Amino acid sequence: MDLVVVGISEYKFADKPDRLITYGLGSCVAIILHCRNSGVASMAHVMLPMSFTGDKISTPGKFADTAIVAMLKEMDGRGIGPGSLEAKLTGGADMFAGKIKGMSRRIGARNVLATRKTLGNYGVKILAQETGGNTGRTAEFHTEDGSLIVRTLREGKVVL
Amino acid sequence: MTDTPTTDFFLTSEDIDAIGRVGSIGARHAARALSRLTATSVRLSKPEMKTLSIGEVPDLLGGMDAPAMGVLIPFHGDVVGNTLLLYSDDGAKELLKLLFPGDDEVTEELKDSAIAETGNILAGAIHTVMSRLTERILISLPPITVQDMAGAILDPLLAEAGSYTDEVVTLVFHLSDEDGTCLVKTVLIPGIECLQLMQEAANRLEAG
Repeated sequence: MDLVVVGISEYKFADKPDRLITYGLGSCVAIILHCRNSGVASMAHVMLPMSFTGDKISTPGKFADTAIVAMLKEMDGRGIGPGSLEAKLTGGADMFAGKIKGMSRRIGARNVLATRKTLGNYGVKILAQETGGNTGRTAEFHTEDGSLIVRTLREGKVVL
Repeated sequence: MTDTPTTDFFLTSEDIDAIGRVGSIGARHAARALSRLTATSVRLSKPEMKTLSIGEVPDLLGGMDAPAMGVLIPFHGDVVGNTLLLYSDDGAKELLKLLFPGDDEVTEELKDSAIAETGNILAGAIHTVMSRLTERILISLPPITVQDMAGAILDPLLAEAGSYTDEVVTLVFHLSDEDGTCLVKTVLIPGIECLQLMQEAANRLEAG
């Protein structure tokens, strides 16, 4: 069993029984797409809601919309359509409790909203979500049983 | 809802060096203020300027999920933006040793307050230098402290940078006592508006 580490603005794939992990999510969102039948999963660590240049960007994993499109495209290449996928989300915190100024305001909530909207546009069902609040999160996805473990420094862990 | 770039903002290595000189002036003022506050001699280095890819920034603090302390100092006035200072968990402990030498019974509340005030003094000194050089009104708002994973604290300002580039300008200062036995690394991340102002201030400084 391998542990596949997903960095900021990246998306990666794993096959059963491997695990996907991303560390230190604040306002960023981890998006997990999982096909139970095949055991294939993909995780993205997105920073921003939507790209302004669409699919021409060099780092699709940076934006919620382009990350989801890229993940779906690669799933399609493996013969997995959106209807076979389940999504789980975590992150999207407001680390400074509304006190931050300028363009970063509510970035976490906007990331979550853009993620939900894009998944909805492609008909991907969202199975679980643990987002918002003011805490950092580390997310680990198990392809074997589809569980998502979300760890925090102050509030322990939850399993989705 | 689309995140569009606010600017074609671009910095050359000469710009980054010049921004470092603005940071140095702020550091000198901050060192004097910290020395008065602690009634000891506090030294603050010139900033070490680093341009890092977004994914590399948390490594300055021990990694994405390493425990860290962040102090956010928002500002408003003619320009609205943010400056963020970060300490690793060990760095925050060292800072407390520097601020309260020989005092092992400092309360949690006082620790938070002291770290917030140190961040406020450094960021406030830089805001003042920027304000003076650019002739713009900048008012530093009260500092907000957060203890959490380094990556999580950094996220909002990395996202700001990420909306126009894949790199982040960081200023790394070292605080020390007189004999240099207590050394504290302080990582300063300017928000995009702060960085633009630092560049403008640097240009004014170069122009004399």
